[in-house]
Amino acid sequence: MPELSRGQQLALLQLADIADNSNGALEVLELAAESKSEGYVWVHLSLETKDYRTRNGLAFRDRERISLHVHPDFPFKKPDIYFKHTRFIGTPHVQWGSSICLYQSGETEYEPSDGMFGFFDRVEQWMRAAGKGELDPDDAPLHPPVAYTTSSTTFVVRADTPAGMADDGIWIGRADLRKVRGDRFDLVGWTKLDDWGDTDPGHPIAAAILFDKPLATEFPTKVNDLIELVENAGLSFGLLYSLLRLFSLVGSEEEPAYFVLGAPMRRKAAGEPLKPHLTVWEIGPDTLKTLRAMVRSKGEDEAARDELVKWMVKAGVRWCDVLEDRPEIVNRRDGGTLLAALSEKRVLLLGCGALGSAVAEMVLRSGAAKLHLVDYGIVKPGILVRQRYADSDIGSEKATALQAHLQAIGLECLVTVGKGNLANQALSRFDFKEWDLVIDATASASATHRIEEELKAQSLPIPMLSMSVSAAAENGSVLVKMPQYRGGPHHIARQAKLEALAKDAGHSLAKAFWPERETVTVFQPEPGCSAPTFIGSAADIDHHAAGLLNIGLSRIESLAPDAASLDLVAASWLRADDSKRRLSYTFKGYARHSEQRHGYAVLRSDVAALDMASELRRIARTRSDRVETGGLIFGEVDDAHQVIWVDSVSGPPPDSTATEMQFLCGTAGTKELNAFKSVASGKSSRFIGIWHTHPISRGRPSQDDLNAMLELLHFQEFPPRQVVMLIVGYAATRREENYYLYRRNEFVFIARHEEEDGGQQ
Amino acid sequence: MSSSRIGLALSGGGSRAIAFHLGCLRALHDRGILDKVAVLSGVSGGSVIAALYAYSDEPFEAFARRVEAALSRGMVWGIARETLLSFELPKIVVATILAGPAAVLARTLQLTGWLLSLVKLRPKWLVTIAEQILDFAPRFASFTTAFERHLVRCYFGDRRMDAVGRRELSVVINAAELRTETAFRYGSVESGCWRFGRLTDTPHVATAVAASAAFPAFLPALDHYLTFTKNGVETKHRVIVTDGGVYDNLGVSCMLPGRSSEFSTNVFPVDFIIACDAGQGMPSGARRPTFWMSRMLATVITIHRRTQTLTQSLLHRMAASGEIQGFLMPYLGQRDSALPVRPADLVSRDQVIDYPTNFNPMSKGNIEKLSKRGEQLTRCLVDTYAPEL
Repeated sequence: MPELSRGQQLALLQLADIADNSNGALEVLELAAESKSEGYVWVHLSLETKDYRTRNGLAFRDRERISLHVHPDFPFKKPDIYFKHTRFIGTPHVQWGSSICLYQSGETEYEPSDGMFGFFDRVEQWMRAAGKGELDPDDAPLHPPVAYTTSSTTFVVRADTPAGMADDGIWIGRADLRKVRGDRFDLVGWTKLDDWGDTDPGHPIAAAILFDKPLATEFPTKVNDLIELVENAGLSFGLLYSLLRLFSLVGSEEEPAYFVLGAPMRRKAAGEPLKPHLTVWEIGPDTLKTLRAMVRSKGEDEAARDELVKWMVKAGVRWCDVLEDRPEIVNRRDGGTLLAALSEKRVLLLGCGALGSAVAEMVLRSGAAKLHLVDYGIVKPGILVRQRYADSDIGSEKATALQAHLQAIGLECLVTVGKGNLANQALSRFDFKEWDLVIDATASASATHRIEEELKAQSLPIPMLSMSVSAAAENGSVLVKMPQYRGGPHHIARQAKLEALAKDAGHSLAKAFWPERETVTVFQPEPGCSAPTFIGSAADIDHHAAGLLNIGLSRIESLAPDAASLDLVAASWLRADDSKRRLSYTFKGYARHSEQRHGYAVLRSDVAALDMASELRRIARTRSDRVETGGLIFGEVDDAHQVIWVDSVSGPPPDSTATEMQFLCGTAGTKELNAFKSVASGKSSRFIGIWHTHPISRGRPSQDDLNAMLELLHFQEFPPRQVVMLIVGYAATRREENYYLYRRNEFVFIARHEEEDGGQQ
Repeated sequence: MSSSRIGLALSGGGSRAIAFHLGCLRALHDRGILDKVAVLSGVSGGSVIAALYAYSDEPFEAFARRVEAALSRGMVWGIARETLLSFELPKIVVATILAGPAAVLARTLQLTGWLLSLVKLRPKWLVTIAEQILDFAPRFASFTTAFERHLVRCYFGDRRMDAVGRRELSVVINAAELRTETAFRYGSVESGCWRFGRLTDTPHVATAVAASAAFPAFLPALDHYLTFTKNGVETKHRVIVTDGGVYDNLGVSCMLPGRSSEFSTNVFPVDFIIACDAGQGMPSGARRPTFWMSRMLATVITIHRRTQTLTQSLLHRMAASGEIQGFLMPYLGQRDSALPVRPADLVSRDQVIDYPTNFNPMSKGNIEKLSKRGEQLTRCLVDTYAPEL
């Protein structure tokens, strides 16, 4: 009686329990110590199987002898189960002739707390299915055949098997290999025997035989069994022998030769056509030497022939480890994810810093076809705490160092490098036909301004995604510009600010990105005149880089082609003060007009158009559509980008004068209104001018209009520096917007000038 | 947000509400929002203007003039005319003669039953007889049916609830059913209450508005037998339908998300709610409810106010949680100081707040003031909080 572990005692107890309640269906026969591996015990059982038997399934006897191999660490290690005989060899889910394969994944399907009870439920299911012949039903993926590895060489199969090979019988040719290291080959191509040509392929090759029908579910361990198997599958011994002789001559004398054998026994999912299962047979240098002797002696070398026959009869088959990466049978582990959308895409990455270096690797792993890295900085020691560089990179250019790291990962993505300061030239250096996506990870205001300027002259026909983190890396923001959205990142950020402050002014995320007062102190890692950055760990950065990239990609997937979006995200470990951890804004671009005196671009919101339309309807309703009306314009004049933003307009203050001849804008309540607009927009949208209508004439400034400007710019207590005048011409009918920017210092002259010209309506 | 489904609810509050809502509708019309409204719900006074708008296809200005004319005329004389100058009066007399003594008799029997129950005796037949007497004599004619006749004659003719005149607009007219204490909604799609089911016949607009506006203190409830379909079964039930303000004076209950048509009628979830409220706002504290009548009235008003506050906070929460994109509530009794931007020429709360909630003729000045306040508040809220609608 062997000494039993606590777990094995439990196993016996549970087995006895099952046997006692089985009405004799299960009988525990014998307990035996395992001789080969220490601590294991064998439990031999007899199981009644006559009720499982049907015409279509395994030919069970009335009772079958089965054995359990119980690990001392049972129930945490699941037992193995065997038939006492090998009558069922070759049946799916019976390996080594007798081992019963109960679980597809023991890790998830076997439950230690259920112990033998759960295990025998499974045995019962297996026997029932085997009895009905349903162990490998057509609608389930095949259990791949087994070839027990005995060689230390590994093959990674990258290339799909040749198309249409199953149509014309057995496919014979060569597998093209790439030697990755001493004991690893990648199978990267297939060439049919007829297509070899005379030239040396210049890389290692293996013989390849792809059968047109399944072979055994368990591959032979002896060479003579293998020869019999392939003969039965339709490959004559003569042909096999020819191939053996041929390949003995191909490689170097010290190296083994390889035979890739394939048989249609795999599929990706239920219902799909069968694809070859591949095994690789390694033939050692000694055998090859014998074969070569046979070739050279034209079969006359007696010793060699004896040696060869001995090998064929006695030798074992050395099977190599085959790791599958063939697209035709392997499902990508990132299939269907957001990042998978980047597969085969060409990506431009601006900035290889904290976010950029993390994003670059994710893009690379997604299966992108091309990745271009732009950064002009160098690797400094301090950044190693959170950026993906090595100590050996210090002092070299970031983009080049990152390129080297990415190439070392070895995926099939062309990684290229561009240098140069993005603040001087950002996107205009690229031909956008060559690229599918821009990711801006610079988090740099000067780069943003440069892009904004460039996009005034040139449209960006591909989506752009721009990400950054807040000063303490607590919050992230990701902005997406779709191809037809008019305006760049600066534009989007401004629109987002207005919307966030209008809708979520109290939210901690809105406060973090647009603080009422600039309270953020600049962090300079190397005190003195160095570039400021933020405080944040590798964990903080990777979290944000991954999350922001996914959010951005999901936005690109769902946004309309003329839309843009901004998402603000709080890190999930922060204490939540607000119910929402993410604020999302989506917008359409502003309509574009031209200012007529200085050539500024005018960007007018849909809301401002609605405001005006609403006032036109009101005046038509209460007075007449021939009466002029107008009001105040709120927005921003951006002299740097030479842009006038028109965010909203008001109706006429109550003390305005409106007749068919003129509109004189009143002042009642305007101060309060301006104060409100300014506060509500975080000072981004304020009074910038006056609008009014010319119901049935064109929108040219009249003398009255110029006088009003003069009044506004020179004769009030705190005059603005410049004022926008919008005249809606032909307001009663087709409505055209005319914008004029008047500056205080130029106005007096112009007023006089136009006065001399006689002014015009 | 331009693709939002917008629901517009017009609260109760007699002619005061009608005038206030007219202004709100003007602001929404100017902004182009009114045309985009998908669900229009009205309660009591709000149902009058809602039905006037929905059941015609005239241009907005013509509609507005009709509302102003209706306000100047008031409804009271119309009801009096229908009562005195038609066959309604003898019917009302008969109904009251039958229903009055019947009610007295039935209540006496019920009281007797109650007294007997004190000595552990309670003959079941007594209760049954009392119910039968009450059911024998419904108030089939009353001032409310006269009101209904007035609405038929002057405004809605024999138009039925499904004959909406505006494109792609669903209409709900909210009333309350007093037997089952549930909402009774007349709608362009379906009418009924969840206990009895959907009405088999499509009711008249005039009936719906009369029921919705039958303010219980002044007008009796509409009391009649109607045929309902529930789970495929047709049944006749007696219903006693009164002012919708009893159940939900804002009229938003039909458009809140998360309701199931299994339990409610007229389920119209929307993304954005505009609820125009002609309520008075904060009470001045002048009330002294010392004796029974005033105490009961104050009690009803207090419960009513509480319901309304709860509805408001529900809307706030739904907007915060994202169940609705947002809501606007132009509110007659709004404290002017709490407005985001106060228009310089705002008609102040004090100028309009004391106007009573009845259907008497309204002066031109009051129509002007009430509607202008509605227009100003609505414009101010739209401009500030939902300019993109």
